[in-house]
Amino acid sequence: MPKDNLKYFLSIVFLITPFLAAGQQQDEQIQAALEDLAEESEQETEDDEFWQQLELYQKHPLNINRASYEDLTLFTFLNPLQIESLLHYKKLLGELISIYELQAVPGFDIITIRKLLPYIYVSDNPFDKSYRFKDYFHHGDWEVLFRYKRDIEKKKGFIKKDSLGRTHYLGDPNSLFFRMRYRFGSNLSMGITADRDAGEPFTGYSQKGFDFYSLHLFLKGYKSIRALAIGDYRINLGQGLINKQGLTFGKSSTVMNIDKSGSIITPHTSSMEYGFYRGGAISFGKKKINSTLFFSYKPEDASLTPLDSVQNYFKTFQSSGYHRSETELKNKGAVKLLSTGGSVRYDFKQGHVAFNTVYHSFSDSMKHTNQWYDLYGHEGKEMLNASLDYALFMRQFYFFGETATDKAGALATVNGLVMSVDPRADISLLYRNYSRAYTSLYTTAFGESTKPQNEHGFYAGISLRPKNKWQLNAYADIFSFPWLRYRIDELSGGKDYFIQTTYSPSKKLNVYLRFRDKQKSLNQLKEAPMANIIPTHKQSLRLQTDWKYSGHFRFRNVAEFSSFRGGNDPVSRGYFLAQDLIWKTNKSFSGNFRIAWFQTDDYDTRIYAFENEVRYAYSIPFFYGNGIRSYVNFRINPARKLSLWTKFSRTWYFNQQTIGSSWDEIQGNKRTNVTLEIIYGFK
Amino acid sequence: MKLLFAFVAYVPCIAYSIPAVAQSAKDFHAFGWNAYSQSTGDAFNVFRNEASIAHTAHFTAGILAEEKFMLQETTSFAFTAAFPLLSGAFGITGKSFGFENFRQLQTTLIYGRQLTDWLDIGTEFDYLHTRVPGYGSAHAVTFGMGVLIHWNKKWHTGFHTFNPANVKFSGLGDDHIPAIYRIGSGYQPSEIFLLSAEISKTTGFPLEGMAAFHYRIIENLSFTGGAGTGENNLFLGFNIYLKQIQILLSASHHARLGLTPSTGFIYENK
Repeated sequence: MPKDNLKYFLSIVFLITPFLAAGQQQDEQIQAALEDLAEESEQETEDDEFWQQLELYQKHPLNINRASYEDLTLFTFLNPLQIESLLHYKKLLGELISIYELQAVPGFDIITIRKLLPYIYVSDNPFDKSYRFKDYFHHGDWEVLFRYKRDIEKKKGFIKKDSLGRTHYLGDPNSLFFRMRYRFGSNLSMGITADRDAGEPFTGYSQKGFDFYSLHLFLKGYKSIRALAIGDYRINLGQGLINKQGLTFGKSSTVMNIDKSGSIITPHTSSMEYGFYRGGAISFGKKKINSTLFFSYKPEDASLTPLDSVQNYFKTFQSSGYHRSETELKNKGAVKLLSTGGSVRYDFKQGHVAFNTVYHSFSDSMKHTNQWYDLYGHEGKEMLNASLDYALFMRQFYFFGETATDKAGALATVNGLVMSVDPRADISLLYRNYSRAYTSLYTTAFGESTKPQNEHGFYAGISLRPKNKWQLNAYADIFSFPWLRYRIDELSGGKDYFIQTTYSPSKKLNVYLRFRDKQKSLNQLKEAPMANIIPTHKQSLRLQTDWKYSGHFRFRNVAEFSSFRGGNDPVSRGYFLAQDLIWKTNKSFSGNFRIAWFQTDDYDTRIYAFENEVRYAYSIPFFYGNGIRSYVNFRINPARKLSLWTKFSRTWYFNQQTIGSSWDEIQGNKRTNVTLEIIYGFK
Repeated sequence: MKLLFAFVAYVPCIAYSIPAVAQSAKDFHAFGWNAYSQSTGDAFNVFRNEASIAHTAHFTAGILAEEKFMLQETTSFAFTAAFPLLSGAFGITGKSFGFENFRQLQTTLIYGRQLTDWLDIGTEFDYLHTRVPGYGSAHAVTFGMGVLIHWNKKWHTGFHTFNPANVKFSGLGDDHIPAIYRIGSGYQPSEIFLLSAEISKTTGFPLEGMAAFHYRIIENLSFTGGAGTGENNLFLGFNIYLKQIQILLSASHHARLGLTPSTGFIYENK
């Protein structure tokens, strides 16, 4: 059967190859990082602020002569030493005269420059830096976006009715997203976002229209105001030990990017309903001392349980943002969260040092579960964290880190070093030690877990460029958990090894081979009172080629193999083959097409694969079982300011009568999704 | 508790009579990585590949000490000396592991020479001795070989084997001495930076991979570090250079058993 499936897959590839096509192109390192992120968190993120920023710079490239350190941290393929090297070069030799001068900047190789070019330009035009405040409101761009999405096959939650004749999901299967946003570069942003997920009722059940609304006003770099946010915003402090909201990449092929610092205040513009603040934030200062203050009051989803006749408690905040059933609606905004905090940062010539603090107050008590692994979970109505973070550039070394404590005095620390040891070699090292008892709320720090808790580890990465066309990135991460973890009922540890070789002989061809090996422990019997702990070993090997055939056509091939062994169980294996065809005829029409075949023995060998979507969207579905996945994605610009996007995707599963589980179960072996998007941009 | 863990970790070694001293490159993680380069003057390179002795230009000697998991009972000592000859070089090393109730000793004679501009070879003869008071002692004589290929100034590859004839101990039962096979490569883009990677197979143990870097930050200081797939899989260290003397300090880390500090000195009569 698999052989037949493969034949079927290949015949479709060859039949359709001549006709098809592409749209937005994201860097393969970013795609890989997103895949890793989805695999670690086992969920996709709806955060598109990162793409919005990249798209903004594609549309209005960044003048590299005016770019700040924070501006450049957006480009994840640049490591801190490269950014500092560029800024130092400009300081020493003056502004760049042309983009070709980038080759003279120490640490910049041809592969990096090629990745950077779509987003930058070089100009010494003084007009770039002399906009007046009123220009912020007249020279920017408006954009109105409307997106519709729907699964064609109905899930069980939309079909099965209870005794009152109601379905489990109270709304229809249509998903709607609306955003209107004005932007003047990265200096001013204001807008409104509205979102409604599939299954959420539009009216009734205390719902009025969209399920989620978000407003923001964000101003950056005006006089002594470094940043000002009113409405929905995000706060990023230090390395993420006490507060980090928004998209944060973990361990990935960008092995030098282990520093998690970035802009302290950023606007929240995506449809994510968790992981941001609502209120106001300001960052101000002159010269060396900068201060940040923020305040937020926001309801969060949680399931409340009576503690006594008066009080309730909850165990955790629910971050999915789904309000489709009565239970989910009951949990909507059940806990009121008041948050405040700030930072004071002293900048000196070669770095900075900052003191940060965050305080949260909950309307109801948080209480940990009765599970042993959750013994050190947070309890109470308040949460307080404080930290000290630093960054220091010394010649070819970049030191950074953060040490934090919570109200109970538990400590967490992360310290790293990135060094350029040779024009062709960079090394990164990182040590982390997060106490088992350290608690925090909106945090994402470097590590195996998303939360900085219960983890010790060393990380070492290397990036080599032995020849101009070759690049080798590798890392090793050895970690241990000083307390039990979810599905690991003993003290455990693990190893994570990664190596990727990239060959870019020209602008037209890019090939990479990636190998990852991960070992950790896991409970074998999930339901047993005392589970049997077994060592698990997962390996994956991916070969990806990206070939620009002409100005109009691009081909991308992905082949991935994965294997998993748990204890003495037999080894399970997974395979994934994909062919992408990307086509851009002119400014008015572009598209992309994929056909993929997958076969995995079980869920453990599932394979994650990045997919192009309509503009500002992306998806990272994972595949297990046996089947074929295909999608086609088109963009048409019927008028200069108007673009229409559509995506049609379908997955066929062989030997399966149902897809999914619980209320998301679909009868049959096909799953189809349609997305439509309209974008209208004007001045 | 740590002693118990250490005991459990070492029971297989003792049960199979694996001479820890015979695996010095495994034990002294942080040392000898210059074997895969054109650098000379590192007396501990012979622990990784005996052919590295071929380019010895001056008398060189060194001593090393390592306390595994910071337990006195699992302490290792080693010394090494190398002399240039008219053709090639000669070396002698000695290693000791254990404590008064379990001691392993190894003495090795090494000869290496340059065959062509790009090829070095080396061979070693080893005498191994294990003593367990109350049970007796065991002896064995075995050998090892090494080859180093210098593809160019930047790329170097080495092959090493120890006890390929599968010689066994005599006395204390007929216990096996594991055979070790190792292939490694070094990339040296400049004189101050070396990246090395190695794959080794010890009979009775899984295949192991390891990578390490050596970075001479300034004239008097270098920084070394590495990671591997086996136990004690991360290490970091410093070398301090004072004219004819090098001082080496390093520590490797085991996820459960903790740190293993090592220190050493090298003297080169240059």
